[in-house]
Amino acid sequence: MKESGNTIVLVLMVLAIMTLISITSFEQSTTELFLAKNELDRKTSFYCAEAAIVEASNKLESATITNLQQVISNYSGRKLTWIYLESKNPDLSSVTWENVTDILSKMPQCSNSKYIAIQKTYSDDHVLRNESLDMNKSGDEVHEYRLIARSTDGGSESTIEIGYRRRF
Amino acid sequence: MKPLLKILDQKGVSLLEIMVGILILSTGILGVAGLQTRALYGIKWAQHRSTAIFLGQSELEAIPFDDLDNHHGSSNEKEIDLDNIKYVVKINVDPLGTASQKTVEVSVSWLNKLITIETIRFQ
Repeated sequence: MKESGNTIVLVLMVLAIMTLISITSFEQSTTELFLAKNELDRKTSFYCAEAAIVEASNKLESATITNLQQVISNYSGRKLTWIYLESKNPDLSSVTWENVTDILSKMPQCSNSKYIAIQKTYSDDHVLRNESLDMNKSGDEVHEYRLIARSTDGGSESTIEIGYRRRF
Repeated sequence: MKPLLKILDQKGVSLLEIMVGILILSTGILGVAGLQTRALYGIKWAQHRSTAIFLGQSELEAIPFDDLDNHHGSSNEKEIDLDNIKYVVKINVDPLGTASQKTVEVSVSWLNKLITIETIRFQ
């Protein structure tokens, strides 16, 4: 009768250890599942931010020299409202971000994407010369921007910043 | 006769003990095995999905930005075998508004599952 208890105790102990091991591996697989699920969300928000960058640069690309010059010379009466001029390192939380519009027809999942463009300020009248990509022709002006896009789509968050230059 | 009976009695109890023990243990092992199967299935699912996302992204990034037109309008399909799983990668390029902006959509399907990565590229 003394020995009879021991078998059950032993069996239960073995079972408890096995349960612990299996629960650990199950936890690990749950973590992997979350990883795999979040990975696509991360990619979605990243590519939404990239699409927002493309939309912003497309708007800059189609802007004429006159309205860009207006933007540069007169900050408060600027036409492209989303361009922020005052400093090289502005406080981004106080900036009005522009929501994406053009890309939404094809990418409705990117509705929480927004962007800003920051005019880089240079002492030499905001014009760069001899910098890159055949941008040094006489009489031309080169404008440089920082484009920042932020996306909170797909439950994730991404921010992309690129440099943008255009010759006029 | 009496001592012999006692020994026989003891043997019977011990056998019963062992049988009960084996019963409990085997039930437990069955449960653990079920849990492990599910864990393995989940890990495989996650692995396939991660692979598909990786493939989709590399295909998307592999399209040269000045060669979008070669994928334009038509649907390009590619089959990739990895770890005995067949991944089918489809690329769709469509113009968006102006001709310079194009939506690039890469979808990867495997074992009746599908993921899609979509972005806009500038030409």
